[in-house]
Amino acid sequence: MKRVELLAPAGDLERLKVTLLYGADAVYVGGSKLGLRANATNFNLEELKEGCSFAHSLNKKVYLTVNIVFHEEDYMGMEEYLEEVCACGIDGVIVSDPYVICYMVEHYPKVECHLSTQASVMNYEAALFYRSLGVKRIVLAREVGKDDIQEIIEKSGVDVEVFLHGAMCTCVSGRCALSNYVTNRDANRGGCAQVCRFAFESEEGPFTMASKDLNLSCYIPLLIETGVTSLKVEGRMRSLYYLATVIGSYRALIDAYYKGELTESFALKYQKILSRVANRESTSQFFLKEAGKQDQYYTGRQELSNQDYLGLIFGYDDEMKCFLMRERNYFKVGDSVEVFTPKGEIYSFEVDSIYDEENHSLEVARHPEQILKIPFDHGLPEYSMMRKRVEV
Amino acid sequence: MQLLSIPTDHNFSDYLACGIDGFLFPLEDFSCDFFSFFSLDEIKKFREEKSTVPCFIIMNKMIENKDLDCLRKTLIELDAIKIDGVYFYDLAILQMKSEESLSIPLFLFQTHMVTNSKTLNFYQKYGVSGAFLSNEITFEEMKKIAQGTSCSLTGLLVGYPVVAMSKRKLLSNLSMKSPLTIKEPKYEQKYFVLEGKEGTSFLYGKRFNASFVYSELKGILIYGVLKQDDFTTDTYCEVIRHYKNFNQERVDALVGRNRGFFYRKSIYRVKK
Repeated sequence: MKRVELLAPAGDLERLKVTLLYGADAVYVGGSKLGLRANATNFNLEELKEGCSFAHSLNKKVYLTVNIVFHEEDYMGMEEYLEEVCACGIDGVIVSDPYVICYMVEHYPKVECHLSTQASVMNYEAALFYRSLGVKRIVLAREVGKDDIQEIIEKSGVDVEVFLHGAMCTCVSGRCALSNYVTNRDANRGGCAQVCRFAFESEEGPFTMASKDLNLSCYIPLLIETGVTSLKVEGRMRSLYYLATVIGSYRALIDAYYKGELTESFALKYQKILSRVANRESTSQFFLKEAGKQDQYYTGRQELSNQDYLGLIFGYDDEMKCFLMRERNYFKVGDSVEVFTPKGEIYSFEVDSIYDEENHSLEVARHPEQILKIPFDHGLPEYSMMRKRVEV
Repeated sequence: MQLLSIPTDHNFSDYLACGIDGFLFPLEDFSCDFFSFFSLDEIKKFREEKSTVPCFIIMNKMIENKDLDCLRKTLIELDAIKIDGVYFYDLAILQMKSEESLSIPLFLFQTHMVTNSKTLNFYQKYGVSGAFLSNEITFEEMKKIAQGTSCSLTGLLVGYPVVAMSKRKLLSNLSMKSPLTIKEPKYEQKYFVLEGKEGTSFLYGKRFNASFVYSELKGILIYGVLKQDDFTTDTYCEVIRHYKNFNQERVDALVGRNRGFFYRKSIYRVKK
């Protein structure tokens, strides 16, 4: 049985490494142009090459977004750009423009062509059309539910990728120019200003339309059994902590499913971790039914700041028998915390001492970016992190 | 350039008398983003009664699996009555045209995504006859597209531009009635929100008016579209008349002077 792919976003090289180390099977990244996150850090050619080498060393894959809606001027330099990025070793491109699909299929047949969700495929006939062009995989519209996902897979025979977790657009991808009209930023060329999260006025009272986030962690078995090829996490501009937590949690859930160990209590723990790392409420959106009232916010932006992340672990002091961490949020002696690692290990303990870089004892850690030492009996893998303990 | 009407009401004879050349009907159950829709029976009746008047159909909704059987039957019926063309969004329609060997002309109508000539040339190879250009391109871009393709081009001359479409029932979720006018407080822009069977559409609250480049557009577009939207029959007749016997001053007085993105290039990078 072919295992489902866990696909992670990577806004830069460090995020690429973190998401792959935390268990993603593949990452999607933006290059210097032609992607839909024009304002993210993105990858230059050198970083892309390094990212591909890193991924391939772990037997994992890198997909590059080339999914803008092209205007005449955007084709200038496109061929050279595609040649350069393909030479970096990318495994696939995520494309929405059929002209670019055909160009890629003709010139770079070894690089997989994935159809972007920007094309909003919701039925198997459209899927058959794209398959005939040489598209290997289709990222379905976020509005497609479970039964339709299954029917598209069965009747088109194309590989299907679906969104698993993260922010949702209120409108259909590709069918939204709110950002163009309100802010003059072109949503279909990577400039989306997220106008659907703005508050509007009307004679009948305030009008808001912001969507809650998507979270399908409760439906891992159902998703896998529909036959999807890839499960995609949204969020190329998200923090390292968010990505490590989300990818690590889904890795654990998916692995447990394949081992026959996905018990209710196991799933509950990770669902709780996922709900705590989010800055918005989440729902299953269109997966089981049409999205409704409960899938949206009606009182403007609803974003909470999360203080669970305490710091990034980056080394070990053998003499002091302490790990070294860069502090992110306030914590103190006596707090219940847990360290989680890219290998999926979780160590829960109570903080009994905190030291600064000069080995002075501290009662509280209150300076973000401060280097701290925390007693621990062994070293930890790179990119391990410390957070407040999640009680189940 | 022929003038096509996207009507809201059924006063077709009035519009023909004013000089409209043909009609573009949003088909009920298969289209979205409009103030009103027309059933297949109404379109068939129109075809019978006005067989020489160009008659096109809009099918621009997101097609789901459950729609496919009905879509296939509808396309076959439209083909049989020799409709002049279908303006389509979903590629299921292109796929079905090929599967059923239909002769019905297809025109790409992907709202915000008809922005370059290479993509149009691609679709032309697959049997697409033409395309309705996006409203979010500049006039210079429009001219370049026309230079780069032999596809028949359609463009909006008058009407509220479509801004966005959601599958969600954004008004009934809030217990609000359609249509609703909303305002973005910072920029004070108005939008119309319409909710229908297919979800919710947003239209920009100021009508676009291409009168200022009308003579140049004649060399670019095969069809220029005048949307009725919420015009009364009388006002819409006036608009048609003043476009047909072109009088920019009168058109502008009726429609306003929103030039859309014709001279306003949108940006997408806000930092280096």
